[in-house]
Amino acid sequence: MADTAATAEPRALPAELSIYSAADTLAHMLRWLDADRDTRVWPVQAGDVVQADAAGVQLLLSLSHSLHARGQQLHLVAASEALQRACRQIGLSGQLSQWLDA
Amino acid sequence: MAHLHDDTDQSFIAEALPAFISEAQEQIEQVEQLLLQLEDAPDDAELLNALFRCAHTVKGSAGVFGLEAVVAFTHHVESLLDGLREGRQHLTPAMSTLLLQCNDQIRVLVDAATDLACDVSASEGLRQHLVDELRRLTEAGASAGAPGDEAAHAVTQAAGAPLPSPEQAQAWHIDVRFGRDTFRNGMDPLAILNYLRGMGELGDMVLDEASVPALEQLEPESCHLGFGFTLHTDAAQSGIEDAFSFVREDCELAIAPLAAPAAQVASVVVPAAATTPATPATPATSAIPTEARKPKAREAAEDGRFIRVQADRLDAVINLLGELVVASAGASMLARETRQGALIEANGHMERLIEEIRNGTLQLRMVPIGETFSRFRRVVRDVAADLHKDVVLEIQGGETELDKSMVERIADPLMHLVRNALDHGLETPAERTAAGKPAQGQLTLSACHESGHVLIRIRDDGRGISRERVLQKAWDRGLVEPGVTPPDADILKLIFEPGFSTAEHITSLSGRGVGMDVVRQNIEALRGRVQIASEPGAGTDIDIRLPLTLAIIDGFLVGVGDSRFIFPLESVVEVIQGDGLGQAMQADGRCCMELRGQVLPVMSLSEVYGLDCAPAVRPSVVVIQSAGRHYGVLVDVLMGHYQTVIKPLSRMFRSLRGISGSSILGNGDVALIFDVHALGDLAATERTRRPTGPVSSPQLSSHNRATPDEGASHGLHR
Repeated sequence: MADTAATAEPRALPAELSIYSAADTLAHMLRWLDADRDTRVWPVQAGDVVQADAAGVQLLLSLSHSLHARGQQLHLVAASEALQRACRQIGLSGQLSQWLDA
Repeated sequence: MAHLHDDTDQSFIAEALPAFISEAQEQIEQVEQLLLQLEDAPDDAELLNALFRCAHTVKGSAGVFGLEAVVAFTHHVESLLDGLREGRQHLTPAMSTLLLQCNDQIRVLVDAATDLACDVSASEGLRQHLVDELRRLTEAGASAGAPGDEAAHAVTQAAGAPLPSPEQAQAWHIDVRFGRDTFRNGMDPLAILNYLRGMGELGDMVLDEASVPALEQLEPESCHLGFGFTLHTDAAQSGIEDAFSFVREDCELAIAPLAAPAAQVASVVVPAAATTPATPATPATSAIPTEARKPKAREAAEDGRFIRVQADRLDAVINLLGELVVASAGASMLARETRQGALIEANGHMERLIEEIRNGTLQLRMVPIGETFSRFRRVVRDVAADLHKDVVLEIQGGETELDKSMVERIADPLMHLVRNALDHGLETPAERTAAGKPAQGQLTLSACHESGHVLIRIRDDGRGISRERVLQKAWDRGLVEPGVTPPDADILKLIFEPGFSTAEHITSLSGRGVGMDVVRQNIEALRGRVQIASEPGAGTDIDIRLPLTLAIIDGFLVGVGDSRFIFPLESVVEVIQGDGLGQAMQADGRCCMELRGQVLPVMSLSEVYGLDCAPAVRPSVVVIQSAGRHYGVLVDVLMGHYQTVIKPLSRMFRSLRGISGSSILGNGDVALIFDVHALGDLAATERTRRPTGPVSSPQLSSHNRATPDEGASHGLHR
């Protein structure tokens, strides 16, 4: 599994986490989920996000739900200010704290 | 994003699209005006919020109609505007220019929505460049960042409008569950929440996390979001509802005063625990409170003061009223023949009422010219910047109203005159300072009603028109005999001659001499006049006088044989009556006569139009002025002042030269209305073919049965 994790595509959120990239981002996330079922704290690079809308945050929340169901925890690494702001504005302050501190 | 529309939706879209286009164009104009205002007050929170709302409205409406290109482009603009109103960005002059250019592209995309022939692909590269710039600035603002979440709102508030005071604000509890198609319709719940933040203080935000399915079950373009939150605002409930106007059909919304008992505010959103397990979406478990209601359709007249009416429907009503006026005149004439006093009085009363209705309906077509004037702010800004000149545009009398079609047609001539003033009239700051003037030049556009006309004035305080250069040019071109100096007013009129330009350099704006004669022609085509006054070193005034409406005409009715014609009254200089008029008429229907020491060319309508009629015993000559020249028209009968509704010529007669329209007289006869400028050209044209018969036996039996071939033989068709 470590080998699988090592060869899996890097987990990084796109610069534009929005409805326009939602379908692509979902596809990437599903591949991430398939590639790593074991790592408990699941890091995702989030420093490149410069624009996030409700559709993008919904994706993130949905990913978090999937991970939680498997006993894994989403960890946002170096989350950008834009992403953090969007999460807080949409009412996910509590979840955001967990994602940042995991 | 995919839009799944059934036939009903397609029908709605087809019917409602013109209204959207019209409203979007208004919003786009509003954006431009706001950006120009913000250049003087870049931190004005109210203007910034209004700017965001305009862009948000255009994007939202475009999404409803499936205009993906508009939505996608406007999205990037909205992102930057969001940063501006939240204080993460500061509006710089360069950013203002960028946003103006973006607004231009939004205009192009919106216009293309109805013009299928319009190919916007040519400007795709420019739009991509603008998007790249918008993204760069948005990212820069995101990197600089302000302290996140709702606190960002405080930055915006600090910049401008204060938060509602405890005495003014009311607390509301809002529950909203957005519909599945919210994203597909181009709407972003986050933008709506931020919009509400602009209205007051938003708090206690709870997102129904449980309603969001796990990734394996998620459709990324379906919205599963529901929120509950409080809003402290001094806006009324209707104002809060307006924030949801674009998602009304798609969402469940409950708004209640926070002071209301808890039982009345059954939430549509079930707050979830922080570690809610991922489950497939579950519907909201609570009932919708009675206060919640399905969003009603936006009413056309929200404030009850204005109703949007299609222009062609209004034209149809005016046309019918014109018919009613004629029918009423006919009825009055018949009533007079009966000599029954009561019937005559009743018809007279009806005539007056119909006149009132017609005049009132014509008023509906009147629009303030200020809307056209406002567009020039952008032109003056951009052109002055290109020319490195400092110019301020002042607008006076923008509330002056004239006919809508007049306003649309005067825009181009005004544009040319404004560009001329900027290019040739106003000096650079250095030149102005050297001349003892303020470095900033002043350009004034004003409008007012004067003696039944509209007077539009373009005034600049620039260098004025050099008489010496104008005269030298006129001598060089042979327009004036070398060495002869005409009166000052006549010298200034020379600039309206075709190809006349005294500009030392041809610029991209002007100088080729192609403009002023076209300006005068366009104004005269509106039955208007243009005059110019100028003081060297001090500035220039250009006055344009226009009738209030093109729908009716104050005319002078004349008769030739059984035919009736109308001259626009403002073109009639005088009427000459006397013995012997027309005796010198040549076979081609033209002659000359002396009038107060000047030669006056005269044309015979019966000969020129080949009318079948015997020469009149005592004809008259109507002296007409047009495009700076005078000519006479020989007519049989003078019938006096006549005001009437103008009817356009049918397609069959559109090629007739010298005729601009028609009117129906009270007795049902048709009178043709002259285009005096074209009539003057016709009078001046040397005919290449002459009629084979004598003048009294024309080839055409009647002017209103002219065929294209017969007309061509008399040089009547273009």
